[in-house]
Amino acid sequence: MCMFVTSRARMSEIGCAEMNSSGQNWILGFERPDGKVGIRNHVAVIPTVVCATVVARRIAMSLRGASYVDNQFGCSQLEPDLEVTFRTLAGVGRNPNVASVLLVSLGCEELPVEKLADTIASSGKSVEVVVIQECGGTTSTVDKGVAVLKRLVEEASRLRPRRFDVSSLVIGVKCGGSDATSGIAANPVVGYVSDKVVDLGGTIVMSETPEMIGAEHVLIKRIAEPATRDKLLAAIKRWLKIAEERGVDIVGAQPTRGNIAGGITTIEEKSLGAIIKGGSRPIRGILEYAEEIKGRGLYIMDTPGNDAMSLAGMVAGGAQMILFTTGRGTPLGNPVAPVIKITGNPHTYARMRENMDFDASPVLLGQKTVSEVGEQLFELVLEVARGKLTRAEVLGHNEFVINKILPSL
Amino acid sequence: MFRNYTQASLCLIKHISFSVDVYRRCTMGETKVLVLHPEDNVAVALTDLRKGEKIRVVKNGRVIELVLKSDVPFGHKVALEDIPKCGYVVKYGNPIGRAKVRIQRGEHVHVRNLESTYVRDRVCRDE
Repeated sequence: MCMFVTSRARMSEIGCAEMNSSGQNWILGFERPDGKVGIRNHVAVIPTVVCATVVARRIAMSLRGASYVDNQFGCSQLEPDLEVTFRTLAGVGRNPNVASVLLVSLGCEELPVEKLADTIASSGKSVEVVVIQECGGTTSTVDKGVAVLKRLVEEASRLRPRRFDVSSLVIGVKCGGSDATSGIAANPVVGYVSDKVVDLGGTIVMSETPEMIGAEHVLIKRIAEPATRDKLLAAIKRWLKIAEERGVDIVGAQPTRGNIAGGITTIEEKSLGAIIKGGSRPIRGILEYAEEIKGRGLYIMDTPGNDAMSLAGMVAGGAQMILFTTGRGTPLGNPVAPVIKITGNPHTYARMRENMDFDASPVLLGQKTVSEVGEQLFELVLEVARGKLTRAEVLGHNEFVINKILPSL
Repeated sequence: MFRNYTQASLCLIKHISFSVDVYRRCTMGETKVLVLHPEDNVAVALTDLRKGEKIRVVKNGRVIELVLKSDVPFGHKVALEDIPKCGYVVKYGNPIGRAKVRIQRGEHVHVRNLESTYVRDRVCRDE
């Protein structure tokens, strides 16, 4: 059973405050200056280049309420990759789960730090910058950074959450560490929740384009605009070309031997088992990696299958929460968005209990239907959107990897 | 890796507060396979199934009973109806490929009798 305790402290704080919600489907959100609603209230500490990561991490670890966002790049990158790094950092800073941002810069990196600060600040948030080369080195920058961060954390803590309708939710869906149970239990259950959230006026974003190869004929039927259809097909073709140029035959290599042993016969079947996590509703748009999700409904973001890269892209796009299915079990989290771990494998649920938030195996055991288990998962989504911490949050998982395609210089 | 287990016993252990309904759901044939979409012509085995085993499955409110013509391991597919050669095999409500040979109801559906429409060397080409 999945038992969830409501945060009583927060409940009493909001008391009978404004009710923007109808009925049971409310969330507890922090309204940002740009009108967006966050379900967490982090102060993000972001290094603008790899050279600033140790300093940034030390600053973030010094105080409660700060969240460190990792960054391995920011310099010596070819322009398209530098642009992706910029967009991802700007996006995570603008994510509604973030109250304010401290940027930690080296001083001579290629990434335009001022422009990054301005882009984040244009959402109305406080953005501060400390520069290592100006502060005089590691320890003096840490001291300066902690002093600035202290003020940001105190300011952020004054914000009070209040009730909003579930339609304010933007949820990313992802599968990783999949096994034979993913496509038949966990992903269909997440698909049920995806449809429900979209039907209630919320937003779902599904990523990992390479996993869609073999299911494009199904996806394009759900896209109204021809230009959007072409965009999806072009994105898939681009992945095939990238693989082909490096001598990898994605179609021929799928499904893998392990997949076949698990009962998957064709690439169509494997991809359908993956995309079912996004539900069945019309697809409103195809987004670039880390592109801002502007509308409502179901979106596809063109990201790699890599779990941490995919999550970083969706969170930079504005996802406040991730539903993550995993048959084999992964502990992965994210620095600003709660990640809910769902497994359809009862043995994984038992063995990796401390990392798993939700057990979808009753579907697999034939005890419950997809919709029954889906309703339970939806309840957990609401609880997490009202402040309940996920296992990844409690355990401090904050993995963050930015997508990169080209070689570094 | 996923290990096998006796489905009914595991199911019953989980429901200590025993009821007739739970017993029925845990032991009847309908829980041995899962139909993912009402339009599917295959179901997924929820446990290792043996040739000759009787399966009951509810599809579109209609009870289908069939006898397995081959072993079907956990996670693998079983045909719910006869599928002609080059007919589409449907799972998740969508075609996942075509029948390389005629598939009989109750048969294990896998690489021997099902092919992707993406592979180069395929039996069915009359698109």
